[in-house]
Parts: sequence; C-alpha cells; structure tokens
Amino acid sequence: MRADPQLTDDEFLLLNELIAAEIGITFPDHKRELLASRLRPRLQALRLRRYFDYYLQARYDLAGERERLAELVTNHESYFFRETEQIEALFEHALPGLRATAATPGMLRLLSAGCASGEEAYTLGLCARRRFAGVAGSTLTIDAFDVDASRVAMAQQAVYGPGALRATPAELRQRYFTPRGADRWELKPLYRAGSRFYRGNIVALETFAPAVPYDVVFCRNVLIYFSEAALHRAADHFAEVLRPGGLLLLGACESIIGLSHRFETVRLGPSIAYRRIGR
Amino acid sequence: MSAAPLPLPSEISWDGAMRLLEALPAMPLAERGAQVEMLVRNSSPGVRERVLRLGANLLPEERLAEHLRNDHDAVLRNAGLEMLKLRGARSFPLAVRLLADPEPDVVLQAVLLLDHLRDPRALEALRGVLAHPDLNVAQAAILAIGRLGDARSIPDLLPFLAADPWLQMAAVQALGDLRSRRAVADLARLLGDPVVGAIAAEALARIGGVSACRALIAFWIGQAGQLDDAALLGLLAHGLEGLPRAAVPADRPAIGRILAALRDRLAAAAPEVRAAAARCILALGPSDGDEPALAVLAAVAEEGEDARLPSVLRRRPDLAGALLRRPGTAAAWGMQLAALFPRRVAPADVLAALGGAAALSAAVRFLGRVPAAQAPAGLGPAVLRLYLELPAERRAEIVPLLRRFRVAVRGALAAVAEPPAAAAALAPAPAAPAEPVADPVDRVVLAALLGGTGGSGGSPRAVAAALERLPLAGRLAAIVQLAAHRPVMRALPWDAWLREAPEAHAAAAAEAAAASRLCELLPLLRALPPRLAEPALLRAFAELADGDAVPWLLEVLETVAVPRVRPELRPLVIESLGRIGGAAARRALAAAALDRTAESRLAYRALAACAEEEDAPLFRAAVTHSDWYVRLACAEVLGRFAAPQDVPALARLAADPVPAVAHRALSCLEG
Repeated sequence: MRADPQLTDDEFLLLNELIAAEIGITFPDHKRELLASRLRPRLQALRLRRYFDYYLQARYDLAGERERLAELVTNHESYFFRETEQIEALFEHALPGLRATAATPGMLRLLSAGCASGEEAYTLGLCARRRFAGVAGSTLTIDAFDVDASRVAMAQQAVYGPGALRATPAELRQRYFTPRGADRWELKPLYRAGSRFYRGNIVALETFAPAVPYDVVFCRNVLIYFSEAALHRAADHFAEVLRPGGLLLLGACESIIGLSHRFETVRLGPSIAYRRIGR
Repeated sequence: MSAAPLPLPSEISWDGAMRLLEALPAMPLAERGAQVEMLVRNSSPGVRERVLRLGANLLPEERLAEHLRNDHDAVLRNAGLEMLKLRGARSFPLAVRLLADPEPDVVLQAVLLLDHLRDPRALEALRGVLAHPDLNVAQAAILAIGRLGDARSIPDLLPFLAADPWLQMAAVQALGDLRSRRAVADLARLLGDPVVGAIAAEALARIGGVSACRALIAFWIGQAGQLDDAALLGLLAHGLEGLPRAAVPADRPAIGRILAALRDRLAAAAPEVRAAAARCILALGPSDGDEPALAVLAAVAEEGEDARLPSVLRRRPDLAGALLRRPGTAAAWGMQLAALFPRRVAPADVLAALGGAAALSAAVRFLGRVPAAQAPAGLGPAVLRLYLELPAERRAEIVPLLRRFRVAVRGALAAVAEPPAAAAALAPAPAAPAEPVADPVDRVVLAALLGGTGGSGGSPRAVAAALERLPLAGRLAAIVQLAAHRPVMRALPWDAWLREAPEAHAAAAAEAAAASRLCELLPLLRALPPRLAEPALLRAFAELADGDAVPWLLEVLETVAVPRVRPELRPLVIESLGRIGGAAARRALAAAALDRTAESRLAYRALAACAEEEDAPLFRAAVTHSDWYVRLACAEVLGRFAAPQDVPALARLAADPVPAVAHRALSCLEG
C-alpha cells in the first residue's frame, strides 16, 4: 500500500486560494491538517497520489469535482432552535415595519444563506408560525441555499438525527416531528410548506439572485469561515438581493462593519442587524 | 427600532489596498517605505498583516525603533512593534538595548518584544527590569520570564506572590508556566483569594503532580457549592490525568469521600461539570463509579459528536472490554484503546464490535498485532464481512488484515454466497441481507489479495485468467482495485486489449502502469492515438517520467487540449510535461507560460520543476508578475541557480507581500 499523500506548502496555498475563490471559505495555517484530512479520502477514491493532482481536478472541474470539493470543505454544524433570540427579536421588533414596506405587498420573503441541512430555515418557519398571529394576512416564503448539494438534499428530505435536535425541547420534538426509526425524526410536511431549498453559492451571486428581492437575509455562523475577499463579495451580494430597508442577520460573532457602505447597523432588541440602505 | 449608521471610512478602499500591495514589489525602495507606513493604518486585518510582513523586511531597524518612541501615533507605534516581532531573532539586540530607555513605555514595548522572541538569553536582561518602578513594565517582565521556562528564575519570582496584586497575578501565572513545584504551597494558600484564586488554581493544574492535585481536591471539597464547579473540576481532571498511575492517591477512605462528591456531580445540569466529574472519577482508578462515569462521558461526547479517545481513558486499558460492549462512541473508544493496549483486550471482544466501520483504523491496528496463528474463531468471517460491506474506496484500509489472516478469510470466502442471478435479483429484496455476498469481481479481487497456496486459484496467472473472463465493466472494476498488484497486472494481456478495445482499456492500463510501475506498458500507451488522452494516461507518463512520451504529449497539447475539443486536459498536459522535463518539454512550457491564458501560471510552475539555467531569463523577467504563484516559481528557479546577477531579484522577492514567496526567496538568499 502506498503512503498517504502529504499536503505540501504550495498545495495548501493553492487549494486555499481555490476554495476561497469558489466557496469563500478559508483555512488558516493552524487548520492545514484539517483540510488535508478532509480531502485525503477523496484523493484515495480518485486514486490520486498528490494533492496537486486534486487541485487540478477541482480547479478545472474535471468530472464535476468542484461540487464534491464544496461538500468536503464546508462546515455542516447546525441544529434546530439555535440562537433563537435573534429570530424572536426579528419577529418582535422588525416584522411590523418590514411588513409595511415589503417588496411584494402581502408577502414576506426570507432567505437563509448557507443553510446546511435546513435546520435554520425550518426553525425560521417554526418560529414564524408561533409569531404569525401578529402579522396575519402576510404570506411567508423561505428560500434557503447551500453550496453543498448533499446537504441541500438532506434539507429537502427533512429527516434529522439527535445532533440536529439537541436544542429542541421534547414537547416541540413531538409536535413538529415524526419518528423514523432509531434516532431519526422527520419534520412533518405541514411545517415544511413554504420552504424551498436549492444549491447556491454565497460568493456567486448568479446562483441565488432572485427576481424579487428579499425582505430578510439570514446568514449565521457561515462568514466566520470566509476569507476577507470573500467577505467583501458576500456583503455586496447580500446588498444586491435585499430590498432597501431589508435586514441582514449574521451570527453573534460575525460582522460586516467596514465591509460595505450599503448597510447600516440597527438594533433589534438584544440583537444587532444590518439594514440595507436605499440606492 | 433605532438606527446607527456606520461611519464612512476615509482610508483607501480594500480593492485599492490590494492593488497597491500587488504593485509594491515593483516599486523603488523609498516609495515602498512610505506606502507601508500609509497601509499599516488600513482597517482590514488582511491588508495589515501583509503590509506588516513587508515592512518587517523592508524598513531599517532604526526607523522601527523610532516608531516605538512615537507616542503621538499609536498606530505607527504598534505597527513598529509588530514589524520588529516579525523580524524575529534579528530584533533581539535592539530589544535588549531598549530596556535601558528612560521612557517606561519604550521599555514596556521592549519587554513585550523579548516576550515574543522567547530567546533564552533574554533572562538576564529581563531580571534587570523586575524592579522597574513602572508596574506595567515589571508585570510584563514577570510574565515574560515565566514563559521563558527557565527554572533558575523561580527564586526571583516567589517574592512577588506577596506583592502588589497586579504583580501577584503575574507571578502566579508565571510560576504556573514554570511548573514550579516549589510554589505549590504558596499557590494553595492563594486558592481562596477572590482576586488571584482562579489563576492560582490554573497554575496548580499546570504544575501538576500529587501535591498540586491534593491542594485542588482539598480546596474543592472544602468549598463545594460556592465555586465555579466547571472550571475547578476541569482543572482537577487535567491535573489527575497528568499523574503517573502509581502516584494516584491510594488513601481509600479519603478517595471514597472524593468519589462520592464527584458522583453527585455526574447529575449536574451543565455538561461541562458532568464530563469533568466523570474524568476525575476515571482518573482516580478502578471504582464502582466507572460505569456511570463512562456513561456520562460517552453521552456528553455524543452530544458534541466527538469520537476522539479522551486522555483519561488512555490511563485505563482495563476499561477497553467494557467500552467495546457499549454502543456508539464508547465502542469506538474501546476500539482505539484496544489498538493502544492489544494485550489487555480479548480479540473476541473486538470482533463483536467490528460491525461498524467508524473505528476501522483502530480495529485494523489492533488486529494487525494479533499473531496469525492465534487468530480467534470467527475472525475470518468478521474480516471478510467488513471488507465486503465497506465502500470500494475504503477497502484498501483492511487489505493488511486480509493478508495477515489469509487462511481464515479464504475459508470464510468459500462459505459466502454468490449474489442472486439476474432474474432472481429483480424480485423484491429483503430489507437488509443477513449475510454478505461476494460477487464475481469481489472474488477475483479477493483471490489476488489472499494469494494462492500451491497452484490454487490465487496465483497471479490464475487471477489474470479469471479477470479476463469477467465482463468488461467487472474487469475494469477489478483492475482499479488491483492496479497496485504488480504480479497480476503484469500477467494481463494488455497488448491485445489495447489493440482490440483501446477506448475501454486505456485508462485501466495507465492506472496499472502508474500504480505498479510497469514501464513495459509505456510503449503500448504511447501507441494510443492522442485523441484517447485522458487524465490517468497523462498522469502515468508523468509518474513514470517517460521522456519518450513528450512528443505524444505535445501532440495532445496542440490538437486535443484545445478549445472546442478537450481544453480541460491542457493543465494536466502542462503538469506532465513539467514532471518529465527535457528540452522539447521546456520549450513548450516556456511558450505556454507566456501565452497569458489561465494555464500560464501552471506552465511557469511546471517549467520551474524542470528548468535549467538557460530558462532563468524568463523567470528573471517575471519577478514582478501580478500572480503570486508565478513569483513563487521565480523565487524557486532563481534561488536554485543562485547567479550573482539574480541577487537583486531575489531581494525584491524576499520583500514580497505574499509570505510564501518571501520565505522561499529569503531561504534562497540565506542558504
């Protein structure tokens, strides 16, 4: 048996450059071994003996490798009812104003960018259901996309394991999910209605730009993995897909301050959001 | 909803800064200095990091020392310190000189610089400022001394445990860094101190040893309920896990009280407390708390989806069997423990847990140490089943086991069923087959891997014959799995296959040639028409460094790897030419480097791999290329030949804003 290939300095830089340009994510020096270990099985499957060969395979998208690369390097950590204070704050403090100025009257359009297996997008829908009495008469649509096609497929199937439900109280688990074998739960169809999942890439606007702009964009705990160049592109792209006055919500430790002149910070109760400034 | 608009930045835009950074290597030195001092004010961390690296290599030392003295411009002052840090050991003499500066802020910067450099020679100089009248300086010096790790400094630091709280905190931390056993009693007395108690606990955990652990236990027992359990128990677990096993306190009545208190914490609400209590219980050695502690530890790990073997279990090989009998993460830990301590585990326990592939590598390591003659009953079927159930790309991981226990596995294979015939396969299948099946491809591959015994069906010729009889798709699948099996690959009728069905066999032949290093296949591969070029073929020529393949590759480059035919092959051809080298390859690569297509950078790299001295002018002319990857190739080639006229170009590259380029050029200049 051959020895495992080793990731050289040059290969690390090249792969990082490619991943940052195509997906936005960057692997700092201390995560070099992480990148190597994520790609190693793929090299074995393709019977490639050097990471440089894999770089060429992905860079030139031979046999559609770009999509597989996205699956390998993206972080899939997500769960239902994660950091719901921010979602609650949106419905509590901003929804009436958003509704009054919606891009399409009578409709609120939300986007979950970098949705992984759909936990956040579905959580948005579940939280909206509990809050929607206050804004009855509006239709809520939730679009969600991720660069990892396999995760998008999981989101569409909506079957989850215990990790995804670790913050879901037992009572809510019973109400919203149907058991499917050992340690698997399927979100009931009723609660999946109104959510649409597709493959898209935050750093490639054409993959998720809608015909009608969104009122709210959620992109939480995704940008922390992005390179600086990709952050700039992401901020620009979110500004493109949001209507003036629309809100961008990021994770608690993320910020686009200094990255774009097209947003202003606003306070939503205990949370911070970024409001799209008019053209 | 209240709105607070963002301030508009007055600085150069991010795009502008990036363009300026790209242009910096081509600027005159003086202009670069001014641009560096402007760009360090940029709010972008990426721009700042790159420009600081540049300034560290570019600005003279006196200029950087002036920045340190600039108390009107904090940005420049901080940038000066950062650049001196980036200069590494070259900054040491300056830092020592600055310790005598009359300005306390400058002395403080010098101490911080020495702290960063961690040069052992700094100890004497730092001792000299321990009594500095400025508390910030003295505090930074104490911390820096601690991080130097020289035990001779302990007597200098002990008096500070009774000093001003600011210095006291620094001394506690430093003594912890120094792992000072002499300080344990003093630190233990500080555990109850509201200001430095938490730092003292951390220091004791870092110091470790029986006395430090006793101090932490005594304090925790005495103060239970009034403390941050998660932090203190975590530190205690850390300390206990660091004790030699023989040093764990053996005072059973006392241990009994501690265990009882720890077991209470297994039901704590916070997972950190539960996990820390479990670690402490397990670290204290075998007890009736083991089972509940294992259950808690596994449950907490499963919540975090972490299957790494906890350190505490490395101390407890006696638990391997119990772990292997548990499901999920615990079984994976058991497998890892079995691999670490093969003599402490019964093979039957491992076999029982072998079903899942999650801990496969640990299982392979463990079973790899079991002598073949002592293979436990059931091992052959278990290994075979694992092999057949694994996806093809992972099967190579257990090939060593197949070979080690070939007799047992061969016996098992004879008892395994063939898959159902095609017609029967159309009938509804049971939900999950009770027994694995081995299809004809599996059987041929296994025959090769298990080998023959005295002319049986496992000899290379017999396997090759069986492989020939397989339908085309099965044959190719088997070849992929056996590509590195040189005897079998050599026995195959490649000549006939490549003549009769070249499209079908070209990739498999290339794969076999590269993996088994079958140079005799190269003429057959070179005889293929260039239109059949594909990645495996291009890589095979490169891996076998086939100089005779260069004309074939050049033809592919000109007729096949072109727009509207198969442009995706162009980078692979370029790469292969670079790995083979030779005059014709170098000429083609030089032309490709200059043609300004997307593959130009790859051509520079490929040419760098095989460049000769006469190629140096092309690289000399590219040292200000806008692509860092091309500049990296320049540094590599110009450094390799080290011609005197290339020193200015290398010096320019040594100040490159991309660290990889700068490091490569610097190492060439220094080497």
